[in-house]
Amino acid sequence: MADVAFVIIGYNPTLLQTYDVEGNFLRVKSVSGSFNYSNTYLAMDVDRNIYFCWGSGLAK
Amino acid sequence: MIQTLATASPTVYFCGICVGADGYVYTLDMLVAGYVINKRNVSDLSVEETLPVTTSALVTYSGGLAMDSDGNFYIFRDPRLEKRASDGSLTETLIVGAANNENGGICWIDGYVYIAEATNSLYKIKDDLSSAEMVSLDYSIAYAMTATSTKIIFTGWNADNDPVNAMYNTEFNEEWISAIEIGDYGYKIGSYGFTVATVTYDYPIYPVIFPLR
Repeated sequence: MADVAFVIIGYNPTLLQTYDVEGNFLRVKSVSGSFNYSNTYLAMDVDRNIYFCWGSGLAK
Repeated sequence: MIQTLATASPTVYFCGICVGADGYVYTLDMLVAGYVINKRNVSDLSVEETLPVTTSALVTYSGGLAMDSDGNFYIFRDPRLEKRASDGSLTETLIVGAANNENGGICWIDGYVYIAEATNSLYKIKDDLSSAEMVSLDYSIAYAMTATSTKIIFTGWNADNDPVNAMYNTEFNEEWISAIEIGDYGYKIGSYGFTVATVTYDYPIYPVIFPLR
């Protein structure tokens, strides 16, 4: 499987989706929380771990 | 697999997150007493250092937090962009953007800060905050934005209003655009913003040959 280049959090349904550097879909992960477009932020480290926060929640 | 889930006190509200070139996770946290930037260990997200951020510009929602390769911070909350040194002290400010553009995102690439307006427009700003250029793209691709090495990655909509991701270079030329696999659209996006180091050798490598017996 290709390396993860970026992650998005999607709307309807709320899912984390990873893509490679050419934009090809890789994997999907269901998450739960009070996410919305204004209170959610995403980041990734050099090892492609995903970090995200929303409201008072913080996850790796 | 979600390895760590830390629900902070309800009196903490996260307003941004990024990973620095030093490998730490940084969060912009709104507390009752004001804002701080917390430097967090990647293993368990525990706080290693707290940097006070004295400002009156931020409210609950912000445009996010970005870092450059020297460890400076960039915080955006419509219409104010702040540059802060690695100790959290304020070094520059710039008023940029229009109303209600705080949701698109912020990133840093090679001497410039980019702010998306959650529509088709974004700003390219010198990272000393001395000048800003507004760019209008052909469609609403800049709903959210991140940086990976020297490229900008957007999530938004194409010309037919279909949900897509796209990669652009820093001159705003499209390199690819692709459909979002699942769901109506992506509303936030994240990546690793710095160039990944490669290992080089300054000496030749000679093969070792073992004789067969």
